[in-house]
Amino acid sequence: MTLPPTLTDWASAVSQSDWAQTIAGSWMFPLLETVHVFSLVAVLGTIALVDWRLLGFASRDYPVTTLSRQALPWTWGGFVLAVASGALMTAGQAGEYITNPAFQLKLLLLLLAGLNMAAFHLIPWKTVGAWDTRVGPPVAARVAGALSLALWIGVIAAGRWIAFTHGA
Amino acid sequence: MTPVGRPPQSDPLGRTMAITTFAPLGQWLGTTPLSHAARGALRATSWLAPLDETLHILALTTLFVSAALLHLRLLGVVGKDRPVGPLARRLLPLTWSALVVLLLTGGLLVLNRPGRYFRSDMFVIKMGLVILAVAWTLVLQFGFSRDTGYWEQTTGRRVLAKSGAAVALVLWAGAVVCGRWIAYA
Repeated sequence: MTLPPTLTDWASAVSQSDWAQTIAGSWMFPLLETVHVFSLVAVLGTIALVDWRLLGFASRDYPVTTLSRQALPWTWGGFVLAVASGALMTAGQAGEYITNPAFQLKLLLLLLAGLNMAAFHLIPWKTVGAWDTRVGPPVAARVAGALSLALWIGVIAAGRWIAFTHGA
Repeated sequence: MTPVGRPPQSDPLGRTMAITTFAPLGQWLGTTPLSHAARGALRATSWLAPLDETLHILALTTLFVSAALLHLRLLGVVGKDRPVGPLARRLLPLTWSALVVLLLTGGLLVLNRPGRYFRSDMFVIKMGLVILAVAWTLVLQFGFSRDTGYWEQTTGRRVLAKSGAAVALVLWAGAVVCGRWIAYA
């Protein structure tokens, strides 16, 4: 994907800043990677728990609202940490990252996962009172659960592929 | 003159625990047909390494979350309104399956460069933590297999289950941390 020059200029300015280079060349980098792993476990793990419940695969004896209420603080807490650690990790090579196709795909998949979550809350969640304890939620909820699982697994895979992919 | 910046990554005189104890094992492993096969497969197939790492992360998430849910329940932090037995019967198979995937996907990477891994203290410590955590999980499994209420029947067992749970959580988390630092130490 061709990016506007303002964006690539900004990215290289970020990567040349003192703080970004300090992080990239010190013990802070593996520390950020470690934080990133733990936060992604929290995000993916709690999202998968709710998605499996929506699909009727697991936690069938838990109401959907109970499960999501207990999972959500971990999901959001983990997400904030993952974004922060990810942003600081990429800063030192920001220019390379934003032109890396796997990194671009990862951002796109994150956006789609967010849209899917918004659609889930706008459509099937409105009637959750009627299917909260049902093993098989409505089709719209099951589709959202399946899409969510697929998109988040895609986010992980795209993230892993960044190191094996070269930018333009 | 001592160079500035990051300290040297390893002691060239070979005084680290891993080098003196396990380096020969890594060297021998590197001569085995299995190691040759792993190197050949990773070299021939460019997408095998990222796919392997992706599966490793997915399995790591499964193991960590299934173990955390069970251990936090044993500690009484979550889900106290439900019995622990049925929860263990659902979660332990997930933990074991994820462990198999972790050993296979991690094994491929180790077989690719065994000399490098067995010379790393972080890797050796990680494997030590994994062995201890797995041993604890076997103990836990043994009890639940005898009786779903096994770990709640006596005060002694309850205390053991709780202390084991707390230690095991630290062991698994430590294994994740060491895994991430192998590339740096």
